[in-house]
Amino acid sequence: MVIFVLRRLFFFLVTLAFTSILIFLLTRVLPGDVARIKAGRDAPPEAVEQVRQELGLDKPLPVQYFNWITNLVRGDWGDSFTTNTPIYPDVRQRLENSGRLAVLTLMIAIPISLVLGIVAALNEGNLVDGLISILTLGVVSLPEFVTGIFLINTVAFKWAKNWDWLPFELRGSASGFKPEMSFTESLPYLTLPAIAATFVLLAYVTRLTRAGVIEELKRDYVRTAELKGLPYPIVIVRHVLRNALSPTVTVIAISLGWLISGLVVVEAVFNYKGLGSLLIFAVENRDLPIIQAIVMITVAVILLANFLADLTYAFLNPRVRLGR
Amino acid sequence: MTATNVSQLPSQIMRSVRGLISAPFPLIGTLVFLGFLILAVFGSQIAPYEFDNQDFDARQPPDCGLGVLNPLRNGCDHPFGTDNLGQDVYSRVILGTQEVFRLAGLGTLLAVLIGTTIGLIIGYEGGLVDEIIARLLDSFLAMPALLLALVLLGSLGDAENSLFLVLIIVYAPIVARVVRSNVLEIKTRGFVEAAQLRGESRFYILFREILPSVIPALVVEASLRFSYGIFLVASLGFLGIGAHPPTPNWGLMVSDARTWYSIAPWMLEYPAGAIVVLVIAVNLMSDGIRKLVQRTS
Repeated sequence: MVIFVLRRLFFFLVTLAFTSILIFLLTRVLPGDVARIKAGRDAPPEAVEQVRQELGLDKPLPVQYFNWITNLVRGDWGDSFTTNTPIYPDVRQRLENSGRLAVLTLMIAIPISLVLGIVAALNEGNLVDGLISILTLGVVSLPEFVTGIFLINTVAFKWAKNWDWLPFELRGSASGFKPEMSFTESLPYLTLPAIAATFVLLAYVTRLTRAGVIEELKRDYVRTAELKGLPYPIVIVRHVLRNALSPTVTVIAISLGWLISGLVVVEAVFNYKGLGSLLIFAVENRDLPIIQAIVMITVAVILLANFLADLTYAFLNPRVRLGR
Repeated sequence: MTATNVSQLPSQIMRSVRGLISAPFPLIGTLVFLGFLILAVFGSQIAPYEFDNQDFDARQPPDCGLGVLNPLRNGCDHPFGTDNLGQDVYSRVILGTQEVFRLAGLGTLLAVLIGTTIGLIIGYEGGLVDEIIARLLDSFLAMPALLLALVLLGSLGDAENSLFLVLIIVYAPIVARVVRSNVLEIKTRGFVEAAQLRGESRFYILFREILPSVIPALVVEASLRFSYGIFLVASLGFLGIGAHPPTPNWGLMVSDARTWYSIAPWMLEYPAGAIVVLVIAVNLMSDGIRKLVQRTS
């Protein structure tokens, strides 16, 4: 087990290191002079040169990378190009906001898609399975911004307008949300964006769950359990699901990337002050320090989730940790 | 492929064709896809107006909607209405098809070509170079596609062909990864060893011996990448990054139409509908291709 954990930890750290180098290179080596972006398009060459020295861009690339990554780990994420203020407090706040939305989305999406996936798998090949696969195919083909706009225009502007029992400010969308609110207080504001983001996850998690359960149903122990006369529901609940659902942690970790991409768009639709909308702002203004910081955090979260999922899976399933 | 296999080929094709007909969804998807392809190729001839041609009647409601399919087209000046600048939505949706196929279609195609070449070479050569490049590809994959695209656009800026380049950089590593893992398995087979013993050149072994066995997986991957590519182009357009008005980008059109939705819903409905229909069609088609490939291989 210890060797397994160390092995996974090593891969996690190596991928993280490689990805950080990649992000650094993508924002430095590609055409487009960083110092000129910061100094402004019409700045005289001397001013550009001064900015270059201030930012340490005249040093060799490995030194620049090393400075960047050590500062990042220490919490010194540099100043924004547009506002010239430290980006750390802002990015942290946005991360918290996005995290809230992500948690709520997972809370809605995971139970629904698990049920759909299990039902589809148990009905493999018949009408119910077909309907569920058409549903997931339809959902996966709807861009987040289309579902988001639809939700705003029908649920928020048409239906909720007439719901007198709902306080007026709650009938809109995410715009009334304030970061000081507690999780339960912010729920009404987050529900619509979370539903829009749920649609993204639903299809993937349902498909992965369905595949997992079908694979498990073909195992020998299922036939054994059936042949020894156990009632079908007990075979399913006690044997199949217990084994099929332990990879759910992995499924969630895998779909985290999808969730994050989805949230970027959903936050833009609902004008929600999260990490995604900050990233869009940064890209529009070519604010490289913010872009680097946000992408680095996101990738770290995704890789960490995958690492933890691997550990949990191995903990639940001795074959995995002993097999290697 | 042996001689008996070749003689079986027609019956195999017949079986595939019959399979396609018995499962109508992939067929429908393919037909719709071909329809869009025709719009993309002949778009400039089909669209009645230029994409930035402005009429004095802004936000004019659709006068015949899908009745535009009627060959007579009586009184169809603006079948899908006009937007807030008086531009013909019908023409812009058609020319948007061109935009999607130019970016997502050509971009995916180039990504597949580049990714396949990289995957073939590193998978076949192996060793330290393969190990390092494979790790590098992994770190590309660690980033969600949209995020990688945003990083690239942030550092490239909104140059003319940024979006095109972005699609290639985002998808080539994924394709390379798939091809590599296929090559790792194929290169252990007897016919590759035989070619090596015959003293064939590396180029011949890669492209004449190994590549044909990779193609089924590649076709599935390419169609999947295309459907994601449509999504990516539309999403970036919606976010207003890499596409600017008056470009007929469907996502950008949806984004512009948001503020007018309550008074001019058609501005939003037609481009949004076009995205959804095309993505569903490509998904159905790629599902069909996947099943076809699984059955014949």
